[in-house]
Amino acid sequence: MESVWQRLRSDGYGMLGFYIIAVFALAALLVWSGLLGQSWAVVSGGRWESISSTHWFGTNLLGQDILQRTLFSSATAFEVGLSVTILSTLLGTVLGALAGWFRSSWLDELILWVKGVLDSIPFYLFAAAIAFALQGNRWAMHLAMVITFWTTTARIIRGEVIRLKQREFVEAARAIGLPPRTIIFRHVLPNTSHIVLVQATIVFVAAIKTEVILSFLGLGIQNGVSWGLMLAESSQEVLAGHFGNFAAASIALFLLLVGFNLLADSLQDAMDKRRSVS
Amino acid sequence: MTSQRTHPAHPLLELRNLSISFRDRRQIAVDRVSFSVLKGQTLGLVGASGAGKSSVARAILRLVQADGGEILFKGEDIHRMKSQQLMAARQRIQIVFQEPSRSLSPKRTVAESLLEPLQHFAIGSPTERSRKVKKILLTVGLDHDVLHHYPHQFSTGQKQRIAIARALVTKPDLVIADEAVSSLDVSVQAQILQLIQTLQAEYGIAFLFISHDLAVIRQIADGVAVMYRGQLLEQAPADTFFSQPAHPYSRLLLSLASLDEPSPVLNHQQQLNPDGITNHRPSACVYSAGCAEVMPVCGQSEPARIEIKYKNQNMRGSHCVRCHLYDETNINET
Repeated sequence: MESVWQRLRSDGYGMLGFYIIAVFALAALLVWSGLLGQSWAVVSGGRWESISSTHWFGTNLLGQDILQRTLFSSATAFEVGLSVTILSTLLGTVLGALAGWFRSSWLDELILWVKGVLDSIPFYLFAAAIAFALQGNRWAMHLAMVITFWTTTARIIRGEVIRLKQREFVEAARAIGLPPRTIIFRHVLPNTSHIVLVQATIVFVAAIKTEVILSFLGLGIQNGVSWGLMLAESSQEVLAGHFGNFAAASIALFLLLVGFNLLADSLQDAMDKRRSVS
Repeated sequence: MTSQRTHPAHPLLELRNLSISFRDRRQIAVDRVSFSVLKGQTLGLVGASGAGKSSVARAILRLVQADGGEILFKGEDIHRMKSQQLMAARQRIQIVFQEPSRSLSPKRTVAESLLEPLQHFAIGSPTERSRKVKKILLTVGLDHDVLHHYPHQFSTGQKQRIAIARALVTKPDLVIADEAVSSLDVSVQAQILQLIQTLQAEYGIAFLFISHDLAVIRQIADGVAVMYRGQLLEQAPADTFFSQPAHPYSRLLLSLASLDEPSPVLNHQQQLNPDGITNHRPSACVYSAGCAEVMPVCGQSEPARIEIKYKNQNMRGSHCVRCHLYDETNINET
């Protein structure tokens, strides 16, 4: 892994992306540890105050500080991004590996069928249905994303496992009679780590974007604030000439997504050059 | 030596009418192949790409399922073994593949790769295992400071030495070498062949040496078996095979090998039969379409397996051939 890191370090855009993400991640960590953005719900000024030394980004309709809300929202973004990415990547990797290893078996057919069904449901309808079914549970949005996002990872891993199963080192492991579980986890999946990592950054971006859209639609964050909720608030304000919420939320979202895309691109390059299993 | 099941009457490995097919029996890869490998001997299995050699190797390791026939290892059918018996057999049969860069897990160190079979078969204590690994590395000509290196840090020849070490670490009775030297350049090839011969002399390991290169086979094999389109056309002791090949296909291979260019023609055969599919009518000889000595009977009936008798029967092993030239009625020449 050192060589990937070294290659990444020599890529200026990749490092720029990495630092942007690091700044947001630091903000999120500080919010979680209670050092930053705690007064996002406190009314600390008048309605729609403009930029000042006390309110750097101004205030919203209720007189809440927009900077505080923006900072708190980056914690929301990371919470959604991390939980959805970790769970859907685990699910996709395991199901994809099983489908690929037991290719054409009933298990493969079943996994592909479930994937096909999930892929054919319009996502926002599905998210609304889950939110309705769970009576506004705060994890409904996360669940909707995990259930639908694993399919792409599974498809990629399935193909990769089918390819790797033909490799001689896997046949050598089969020839001594190692059980499939051991072969999959010890010999096959470690060789898909580069694909899993790149795919995970893509899922992370998708999760953050989707959170914003769902929150905007009122299907997302319940007890908190997110860039999506800020954008939803701003839809009325912009017409009235108040750009604070709109500018802060969209610039923060844009910067974080650019950071992830830069990192994902250069990560892919760094991994490709590495002599992995060709 | 180690197993009580070793019976002097049995060859170490015996294939009886092994058949393998793919895609729901529509593609016959191996068609009623029979041969045997004796303890401590090397059988060279020759044939063009797609002749079914690798399928035979994979069936012996139970990586593919056989459709018919038997694979007897020390007298027991590998495909009918119970799990405990199979585990014991798997410890005694190992394989070395063609591409060393693809036969070692890229993300695992040499130590991890070599320890894995020992751990799996629960051989020895952890200290004994690491001693065995160091010893086998020395045997194949590598220093034990390579233990924590990854495959990509080695040359192709070194990787093949590691693959051989992994095959030998469980002290097998039979090693299947599937084109094990074909991807190596000539000088490395010579070193690896030398290594295999030394190891064989030292440990008494039998080799099933699969190759398309007759020069390699001539150097290393005690016996030769020739495959064509899934069928075994001839099996003979090496000296007999190289001095008096019986089958027209064997003669063609030898005449081309003596030009020192075996590959172009083998590729040509491959073009004639690109998928390695045996689509011939069962009522004809598989080689009848390409044979220079084809007779009317070759297109009408499939030749049986015939053992050629010699006046001075003092050679090791029998000489069998599947060709109408050797039918009782057709023996006009001696």
